[in-house]
Amino acid sequence: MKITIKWITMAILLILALILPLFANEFIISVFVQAYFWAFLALSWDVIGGYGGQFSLGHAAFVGIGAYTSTILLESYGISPWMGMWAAGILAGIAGAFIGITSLRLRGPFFALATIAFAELVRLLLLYFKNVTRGPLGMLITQTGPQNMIFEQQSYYYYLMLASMITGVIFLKWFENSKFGIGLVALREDEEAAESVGINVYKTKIIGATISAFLTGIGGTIYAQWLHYVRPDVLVKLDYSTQIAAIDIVGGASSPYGGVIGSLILVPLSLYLNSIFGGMIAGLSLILYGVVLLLVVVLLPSGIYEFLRRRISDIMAKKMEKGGGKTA
Amino acid sequence: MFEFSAYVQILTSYTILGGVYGLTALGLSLIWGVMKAVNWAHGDTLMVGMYTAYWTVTLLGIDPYIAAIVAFLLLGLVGMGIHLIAIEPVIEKPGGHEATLLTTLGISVILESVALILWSPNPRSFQNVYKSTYLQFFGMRTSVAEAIAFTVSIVSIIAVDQLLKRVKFGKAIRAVSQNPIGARVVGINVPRIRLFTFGLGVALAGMAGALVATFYPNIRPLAGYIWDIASYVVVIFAGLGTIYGVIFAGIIIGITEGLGAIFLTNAYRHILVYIVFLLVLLLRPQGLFGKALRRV
Repeated sequence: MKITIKWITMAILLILALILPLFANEFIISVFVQAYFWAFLALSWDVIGGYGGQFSLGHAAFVGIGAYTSTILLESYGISPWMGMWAAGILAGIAGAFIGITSLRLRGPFFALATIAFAELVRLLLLYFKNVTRGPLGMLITQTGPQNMIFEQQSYYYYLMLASMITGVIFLKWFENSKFGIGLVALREDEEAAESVGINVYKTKIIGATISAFLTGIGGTIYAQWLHYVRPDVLVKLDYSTQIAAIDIVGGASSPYGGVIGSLILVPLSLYLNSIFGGMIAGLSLILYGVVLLLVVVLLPSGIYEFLRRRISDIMAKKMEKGGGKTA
Repeated sequence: MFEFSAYVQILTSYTILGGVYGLTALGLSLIWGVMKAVNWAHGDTLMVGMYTAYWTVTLLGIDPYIAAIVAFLLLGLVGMGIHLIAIEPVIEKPGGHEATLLTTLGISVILESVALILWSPNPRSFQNVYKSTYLQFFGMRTSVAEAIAFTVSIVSIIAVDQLLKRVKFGKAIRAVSQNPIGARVVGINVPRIRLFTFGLGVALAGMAGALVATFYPNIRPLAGYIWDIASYVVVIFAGLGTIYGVIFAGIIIGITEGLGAIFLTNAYRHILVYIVFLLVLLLRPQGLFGKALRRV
């Protein structure tokens, strides 16, 4: 019974998500576009950050690499982002493997610090190689048309982002039960035990980082097409890296739904607060971001999704008990 | 010939800056060493230290080095506050060390936004006699402010090392860092030691910020960021469980940055720092002066 309720809820949510652009205005749609985008990034992060337990704070670098790869291919070589996004993912994946090789022997916070340095390096290199990236000015996307992933209406981006996010959820659903995913979780819990049952710890981590970066790179391409431009200081910043991680943690790491829930709560909240206070008091919306992060980590350490799931199953169990009492 | 002496001058300046990095990294290293917690708000407490110096000097007109003491004391209190809100509630839970990363991240965001609201994003600086007086030695010159910051950095590192080795409180800190359960068994109040250690670490960051403020022209809410990254790089570079290591690592990072400034121009000098840093990670993951990582 529980399973049918779950599927019915999911189906209703999906239908609501599909028909939303029919009655929402452009602004609301763009809020959802961003929420889905961040959800997709949070899900990508979850592969190495949640399941793998390797706390990356450099994922903005992969967004940047992805966005720049497809944009350079599009603007300088006329290759459509529909093709370019795969190149973007592969290049970001290579960068992910590189960061894995250099720093996955480090533990916990040290790994996080190394990823920050890596992201800084990527940002500086994007600024430095001016003749390819046009430096601090960035690149405008001048090509148009759906064949170049440029749409006139927000609703097209809405469906594109929604599809990406759902793909991310389905991927993680499959991933967490795959042999590789289980191995990654095993080594997060206990590296030596994982090694003793034949898991190659180092290799598994590197592949995990590569997958995570690959997905994030694809996200970067789609984001660039939505923004219509790329710029190092806009894409590769520590704020973005921390935001990706924070969304996933607040929603609930190591879960295909955590990133979605985190994003659907935090992104609209911060955009809303920005739209109210942004002009008057810069920074006020950020304070609430900080407070939410602090509260969730202290009070709900396993994230909002896990908290809701437990509450719902508690309520269900109580109902079952009551029902059982009546018939007896 | 002129070029050569200009290079020597650049490298001298960056060596001194590197020494100051040692000071900015000291508090971070202490906190990490004792409770395996990363203070993500480290750079932001440094920034608050800068503003403390700025306001005490401009409003009260007192000497910037008295302002540094004020910053040390004030940030010590702030640090203990942060500890009680963000560290102590999570540190002993499973996954607590990862959680401190996030809670202090929350604190970092809060401090930055409060600073933005209170003091606007515009960069500030204050005039003082130390910044505009120069020392000459062997044809190189440096401002008195930077020379003092460098000296204080070395003195502080020696002081912290001696504190850990000789003073009872320092020995208790080491006991907690090596074996928290054992420390509790012999009657050490572990939460209190953690509280004071965190307070001391943040106080050192505050003092570092105040000293940096005497010569740094960019006091602004996001100023912590660049010092933050420098401090993290220095701590990892130095390695775990070493206090003296931070000063050498700081100077090495400073010189690397100087070489970057010479070969890659000023704006891109950090590229060299990060490349060297990632290379060190690859070849010596335990850091330059750290003990080899024990496999857990």
